[in-house]
Amino acid sequence: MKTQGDARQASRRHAPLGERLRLRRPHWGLRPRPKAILLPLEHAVESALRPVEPPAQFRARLRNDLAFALQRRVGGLVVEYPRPIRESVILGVAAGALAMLIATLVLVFRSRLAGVGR
Amino acid sequence: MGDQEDQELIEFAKDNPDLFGELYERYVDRIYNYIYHRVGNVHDAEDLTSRTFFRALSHLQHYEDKGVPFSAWLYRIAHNLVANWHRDRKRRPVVALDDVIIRGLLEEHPEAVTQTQDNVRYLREAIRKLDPDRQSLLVLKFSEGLSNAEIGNILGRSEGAIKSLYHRTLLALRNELLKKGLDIE
Repeated sequence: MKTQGDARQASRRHAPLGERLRLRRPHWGLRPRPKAILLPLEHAVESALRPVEPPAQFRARLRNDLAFALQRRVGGLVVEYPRPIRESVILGVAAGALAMLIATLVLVFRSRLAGVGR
Repeated sequence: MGDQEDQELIEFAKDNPDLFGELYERYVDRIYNYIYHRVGNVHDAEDLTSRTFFRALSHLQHYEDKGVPFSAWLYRIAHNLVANWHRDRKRRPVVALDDVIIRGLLEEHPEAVTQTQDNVRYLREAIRKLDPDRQSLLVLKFSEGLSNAEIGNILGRSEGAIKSLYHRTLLALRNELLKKGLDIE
């Protein structure tokens, strides 16, 4: 005995390809090709990543710095880009000093408490 | 600007360092642009651009054209410095969007600026969530206009691998946007 589900499946098997796809995706309709899906995204990314130019002041300053470094190099000195002290180093040292301070205070406080107890 | 012309200039620059200024003028805009889009703020873009050229200057004597153009060599330096920067900081960029893009749009379609600002911001946030290589790929492709082969030279992958990575990157980006309920049509 054929059920309603069997009848639906049979009708799908004999339906044209386009109709079968629509049956499979009743609410979405036909899915566009992958390339077509991504094309608008490509345009959006392109406009989000529009080229930018460096500030003129920075450009000129860096050129001067490089020229200065070149002159020094010709004179036998090697000039490298100054490496600023990293924030993490400063934070690490500060955190270490704070931890030592707290530990010292705790030790002093405990030794005084012990003295009072005796 | 041909690679051959670059190569000649580099050879001269090795003996006459003043010519390095010529190379600098040729590439500073492109390197800055690449770095800016990778770090998202002017201050760090300037700092890393400076480092890139100082490093190039100090290693110029060792540069040899082994099938990798000078531009790709510079991009590699910038790429490595940006990677170190991300590793050191482990943080999101402070300012993700300067007004450069919006200024252009304001002149064209003032009514669409607010919506566009939001869309650009969401899209940039989604791009910044991608893997570093995928971010670089998008910037080099769309902002720098490089071919898959040129990008492959910089990222150390084959042209086919870049093509495949590009497709996967767009799909990942689309999924990220869909998660936020955004669909670009």
